Amino acid sequence: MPVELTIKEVATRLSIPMETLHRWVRQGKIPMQRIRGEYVIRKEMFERWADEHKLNIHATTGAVQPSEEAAFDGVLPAMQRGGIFYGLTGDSKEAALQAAVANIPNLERIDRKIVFEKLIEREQLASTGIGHGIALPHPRANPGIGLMLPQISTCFFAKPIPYDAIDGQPVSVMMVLLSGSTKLHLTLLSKISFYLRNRPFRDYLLTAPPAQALLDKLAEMQ
Amino acid sequence: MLKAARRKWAVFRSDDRLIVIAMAGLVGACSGLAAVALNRSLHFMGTALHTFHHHWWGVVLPAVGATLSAIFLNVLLKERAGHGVPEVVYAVSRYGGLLRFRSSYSRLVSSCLTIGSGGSAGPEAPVVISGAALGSNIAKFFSLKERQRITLVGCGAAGAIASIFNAPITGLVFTVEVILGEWRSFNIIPIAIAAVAGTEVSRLLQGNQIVFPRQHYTIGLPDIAASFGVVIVATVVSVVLGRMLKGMHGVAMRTHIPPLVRPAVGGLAVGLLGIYLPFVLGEGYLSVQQMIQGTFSQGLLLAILVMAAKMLATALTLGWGGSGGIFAPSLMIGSLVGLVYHRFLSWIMPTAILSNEGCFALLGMAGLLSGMLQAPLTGIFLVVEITGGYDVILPLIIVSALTSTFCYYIEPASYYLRDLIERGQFLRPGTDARVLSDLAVRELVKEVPTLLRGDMLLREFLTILEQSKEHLFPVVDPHSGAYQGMIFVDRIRPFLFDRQMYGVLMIEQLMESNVPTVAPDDELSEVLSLMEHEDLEALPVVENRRFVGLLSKSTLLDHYRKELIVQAGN
Amino acid sequence: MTERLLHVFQNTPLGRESLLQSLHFCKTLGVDLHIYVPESKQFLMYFDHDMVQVDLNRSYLLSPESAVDHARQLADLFDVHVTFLVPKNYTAAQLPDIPTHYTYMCCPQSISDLSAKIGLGYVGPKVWRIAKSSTFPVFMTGRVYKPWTSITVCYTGSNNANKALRWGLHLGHNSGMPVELFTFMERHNAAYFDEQLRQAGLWDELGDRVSAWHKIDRGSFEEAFYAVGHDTLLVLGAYSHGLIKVLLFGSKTEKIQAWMPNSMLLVGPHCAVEV
Repeated sequence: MPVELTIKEVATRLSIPMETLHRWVRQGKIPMQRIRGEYVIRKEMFERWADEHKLNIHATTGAVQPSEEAAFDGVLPAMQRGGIFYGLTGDSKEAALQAAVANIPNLERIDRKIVFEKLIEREQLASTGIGHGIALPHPRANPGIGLMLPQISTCFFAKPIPYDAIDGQPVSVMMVLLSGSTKLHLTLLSKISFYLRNRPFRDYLLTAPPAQALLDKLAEMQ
Repeated sequence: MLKAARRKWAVFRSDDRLIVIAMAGLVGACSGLAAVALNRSLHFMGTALHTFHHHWWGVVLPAVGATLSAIFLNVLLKERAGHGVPEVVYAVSRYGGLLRFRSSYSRLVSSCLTIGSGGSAGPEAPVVISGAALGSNIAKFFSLKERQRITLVGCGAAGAIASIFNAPITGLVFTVEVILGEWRSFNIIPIAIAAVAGTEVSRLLQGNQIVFPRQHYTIGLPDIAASFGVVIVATVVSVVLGRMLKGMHGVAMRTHIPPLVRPAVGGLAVGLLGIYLPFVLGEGYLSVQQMIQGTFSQGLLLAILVMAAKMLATALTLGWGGSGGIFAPSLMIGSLVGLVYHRFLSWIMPTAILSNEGCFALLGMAGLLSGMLQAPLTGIFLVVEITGGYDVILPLIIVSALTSTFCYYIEPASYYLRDLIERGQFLRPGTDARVLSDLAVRELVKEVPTLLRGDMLLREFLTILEQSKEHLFPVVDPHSGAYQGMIFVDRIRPFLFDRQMYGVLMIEQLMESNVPTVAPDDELSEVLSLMEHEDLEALPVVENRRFVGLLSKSTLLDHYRKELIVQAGN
Repeated sequence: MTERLLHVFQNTPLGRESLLQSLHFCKTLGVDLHIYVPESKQFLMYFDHDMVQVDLNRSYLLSPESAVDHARQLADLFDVHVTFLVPKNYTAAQLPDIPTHYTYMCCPQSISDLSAKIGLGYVGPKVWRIAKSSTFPVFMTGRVYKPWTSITVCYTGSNNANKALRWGLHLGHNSGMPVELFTFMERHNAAYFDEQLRQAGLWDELGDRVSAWHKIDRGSFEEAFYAVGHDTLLVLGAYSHGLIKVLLFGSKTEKIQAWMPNSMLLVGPHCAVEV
C-alpha cells in the first residue's frame, strides 16, 4: 500500500496555506487525485513533483523535532552547575582569570585553554567589571565548546584584584558565564545582571557566604 | 476484472498529458465541424441572397441581417459580448478557460446573419470562440483541471482556424501566439493534434481545396527592396483601421439610438456603400482570390477607393454592433494594400522588374494581419499555407516582422487584446501580472498573535514587547473589537526609553491610525503599489472593521516565488 | 476568516422581504453581509468547475438610485454592517463577474427570469446550477420575512444529507439555536439512519447538539412535513437522487421546496464545513 498524502499534509510540507494548495489542485498545477471525496497524492509522486519544481519539502509535523538549543532553565541551576569556589588568588586580571578557569567544571583540558583565551580577548575590548567589586567575565560569543547547558561559576577571591572596573574598584567576586549558544548566553547575562542590581543581594554576595546559603538566598529572590 | 480496468483508468487519468491528447482530437474535430458549418451556411446565404443585392431594396439587407444577429445574441441568448477573441483570452488567463456553453453556437449564428446578409466582417473570430467554448465544455464534462481545460480551449481555437483555412500550422501558431501566449510542449502537442483533426474534418467535408490556389512567383532582389515599402503602407493602414474601428464604436456608443437598432444603422450604411462598390460586402474572400490571381481588373484609383470603402464598411459593421471578426476584412484590405502599392510602383517606375501584383497582394495581406493582430508568425504561416507555396517566404518574413514591430510602437495593443490591456486584464502565463492575479490577499495574510488594546498603558505594552518577536502591532478598540491603528515599534522608539512616559502614554496615543488598510478581496497588484507608495513593509488586512492579519512583503516574496515556480512548470 | 453572505438586492417590496431574511440570517449567525446592487441584467459567477450566467429580471434594475439607501435603512434596523460589492472584473461590458468565495449566498426562490414563479415553490434552474457548482450553501428566502428560532435538518441518510447535517450543526453552533432532525422513513427502518450517521462519523456529534429527531414513518411525504416547525430554518441537501430519477419523478428537494413556506438552506455537493 503506497503512502498517500492528503491536502493538509502536502500544505504543511510545502509550508503554504491550504487555500493556495486547493487552488493549485484546481488549476492542475499539482497532480493530486480525488479519491473517496478527498484529494490525495502518492508520497513518491509528491516528492518527484517537488523536486522537479525545485520546491523545498519541510519536515513533517508528525515527529516533534528535537530542539537544537536547550531551553533556559534559570539562574539558579546554572549557578549549581557552574559551582562556587572560595579563596582563589591572583594579583592581576590574567592570573585571576587563569585561576578561575582552572576551577570551572564540565570542561575538557583543551577547552580550558580556549575559554581562557576568549575571556581575555573579551576583557581586552572592555572590562567586564560591573562595579561594586563584582565582575562577570564571559566570552564574546559562543566559544565553540561542547557545553549543553549554560553555567555560572562563582569565584571568591582572597584579596581584591585590580580589574579596570567601571567604578575603578578592585574586584573580589567573579562570576564566569559560559554557555553553548549565543542566545542562551545573552539571556543568562541579562538575568544575572538583573539580580546584581539588587543592592542587598549584592552586599550579601560580597560577604562570600557559604555556597548553600547563597543558593538559598537566590532561590528566595526568585 | 472491473477493478483492474478501473485501476488502469486511474493511471490514465493521472497522466494529464495522455488524456489531454486524447481529448484534443475530439475537440479539434468538433470545432472543425463548427467552422465548416459556418463556412457552408455563408456560402448558402451568399448564393441565396446574391440576386437580391441587385434590387434597390437590397440596400436594407445588411441592416436586417445585423439587427437579427443582434437580437439573437442579446435578446435570445443574452450573450452580451463582443466578437469573442478577447473573451477567450480573458477566460484563459483568469478563470482557467471557463466559457459558457451558449458561446459555442451563438457567434456562429449571429455572424452568419451579419456576414451572409452583406455585413463586412470575418467569420474567424466567431469560429474561434465557438471552438474554444466547445473545448471548454468538453473539458468541463470530463471534469478536467484548469490547466488541461486551457489546453483544450486552445485546441478548439486551433481546430477552428485550421478548418476554416484548411491550414493546420496556422491554427497551431494562431492559438499559441494570440490565445495562449505560451509555447510549451504540454500545450503544443495536443493543439497540433487538434489542428490536424480540424483540418481533416474540413477536407473530408469540403474536399482538400486550398483557399487561394497556388501561383508561381519569382522573387528577385527588387521585390525584397520593394517589400519595405509594403511595410510602411501596411503599418499606416493597420493603424488607421484600428483607430477607425475604435472611433466608430465610440460614435455608436455616444448616440442615443437604442442598442438593438444600432446594428441596423451600421448595416444600412454598409448597404448604401454596397450599391456602388459591391466588393465591400461580405467577408471578401472572392476579391482576395481575384487579387492573388492577378485578375482584379479595376484601376489604381478605383482600387484605392475600394480599400477605403472596405475599411469604412468594416468599421461600420463592427463598430455599430454587427457580429464578426476582423480577420477576413484584414486579409482583403491587406491584399488591396499590396495591389495598390504594386500598381503605384509600376506607374512611377515602369521599368522596374517586379514580381506580379498577386505576390504583392500576399505581402500586403501578411502585413495587415501582422499589424492588426500583432501576431507576425500567424501572418507568415497563413499566407504560406493558403497559397501552398514557399516562393514568397523571404519578403513575407520581412513584411510580417517589421509591420508588427512598427504597429507595436504606434499602438501597443492589438485589436484583439486592446480591451483586455485597457482593463489591466492581459495576463500572460509566467508574467508578474499573472502571478499577482493568481495569488489572493487571503492566501498571504499572516495572523498576528498579539492584539493591543487601545487603552493599554505603555508600561503594559513594554512587557508584551519584551516577550514578542514582532515589530508591528495592531490596535483594536477594547469594547467593540474594531481595528483602530498600528503600532510601529521603530517609530515610537523615543518613548520606549523614556521611563517617565511609561505610566502616562496610552497605546491609542502612540498608534498610527492613518495606515492604509487592505481588504481580503483586494487585488494584489493594487496592494503592492500601495505598499510601495506608502513605503511600508507590511499592511494591516481589515475586514468589516475587524483586524484579520498582516500582509507583509516577506510572506509575499516567499509565496510569489513558489507561485512563479509552479506556474512556469519544470 | 469571518463568514460572509452575498445578497443580490432587488429594490422592490419582494426584495425587501428577502433582504430582511438575509439580515436575520446574518444577525443570528454573526455573518458579514455583502450586498450586490445589480448594475446590469446579467452577471457571471465563475466557480471551480463551472460558470453560471444569471439573468435577472427587469425588476432588479428598478430605481437604482434609491437601492443603496433602502438597503442601508434595513441593515440599520438590524445593526448589521453592510459591504456593498462593486464588481472589479468584467467578462464583457455590462457583464460583470461576481466573486464566488462567500460562505453563503442568498437567492430568492427563483433568481432567474421567470419572476412569475417566485414564491410558487419553483426552484429556478439557475439556483440549481449555483447550488450544484458552488462551495457555499444557497440560502433561499421565502416570500415574506419571518424570523426563525430553530434549525431543522432534513435528513435522508444520503451523502448530501450528511453534508446538510454538518451545516445544520454548524449553524446551530454559531447561532446558539436548537437543532432538530427530521426524517421521513420511506422503505428504511430507524436503524438504517443511525447506521448512516455512524458511518459518516456524525453519531457522536449528535448527542449533545441535537435537541430532537422526528422520525416519521406513517402517512405520505407531504403529510409528514407537518411535523416541521413553522418558525424554523430548513437545511436540505441539494442532490439526493440520481439524475434520471429526478427527471422522472422530480427531485425530493423541489417537492419540499414547493410544499414548505420556510426559509431554507440548500447544501450542494461541493459545500464543505468542519463540525
